[in-house]
Amino acid sequence: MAAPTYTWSYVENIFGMTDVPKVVTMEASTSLETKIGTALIITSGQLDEATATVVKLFGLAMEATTAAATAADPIKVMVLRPGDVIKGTADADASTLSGFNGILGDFNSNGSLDVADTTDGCLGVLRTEDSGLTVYCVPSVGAIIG
Amino acid sequence: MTAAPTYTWEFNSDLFGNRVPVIGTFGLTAASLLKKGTLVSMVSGLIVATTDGTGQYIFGIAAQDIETSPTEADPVKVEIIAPGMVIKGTAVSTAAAYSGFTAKTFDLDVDGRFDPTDTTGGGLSVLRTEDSGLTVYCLVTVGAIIG
Repeated sequence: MAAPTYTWSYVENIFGMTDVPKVVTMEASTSLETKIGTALIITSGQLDEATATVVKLFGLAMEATTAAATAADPIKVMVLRPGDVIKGTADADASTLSGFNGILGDFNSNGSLDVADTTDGCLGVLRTEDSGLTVYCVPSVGAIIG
Repeated sequence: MTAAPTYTWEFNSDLFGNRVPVIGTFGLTAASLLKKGTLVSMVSGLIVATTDGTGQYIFGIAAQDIETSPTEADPVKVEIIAPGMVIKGTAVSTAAAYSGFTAKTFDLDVDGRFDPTDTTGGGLSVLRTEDSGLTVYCLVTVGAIIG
């Protein structure tokens, strides 16, 4: 499966953590393909793309794959923490979600925030830019958060 | 009097940064003996050794021995384990299959070991293992002040 189109980047931590997130190496799931910044979940002990119903968000890929991974291939991932703000793309104007108006925003399979889906996900929107299409989000639920 | 669990734990690293645990002083449950390194829970406002059933209230790691049966609320020093901190301990049996945070609620057994067969009422998640799966590196994902 091709890596999702849209990627995310770390911005800051609103809980006062001044260190940047750590990058660790974890196992990939079968067929994982990533870009730098692909949002990743962890399931059954292995990393996979964050698509729909993302409740086990773990981090952002820190390397781009050149081919579909074999199960247990090593992948570098930035581990997201409580309070980390990540910047990404919404599929529509997300400005009404600003100020954490809901904290269970979900992903689309292309890696963007699904503005219409505010359940079964893991993201709260801190603020937006660019007519609501650039979103600054905080994960509220994850593999090791919440 | 309840003997201290056989197996102890230690702070290993911080997955969320470069912190080390803060040590605080808290009140003890009556007659609860501890070793330095005993994983402890906070139940009803008092520290008690973490064993089977108190794993969802993990608070920290005992920073001193308590060798004489304490009276309720006697002081004990505890390393407070924060979200993202990795602690190293011993598993009852191989926990290798649970590496990579496969579940969030693993419990301990009566001896203070990680119990890979018990995912009820606990609060540990496995980052990785060593020594044929018998040494576990865990995060506290559900605890007295976590989760």
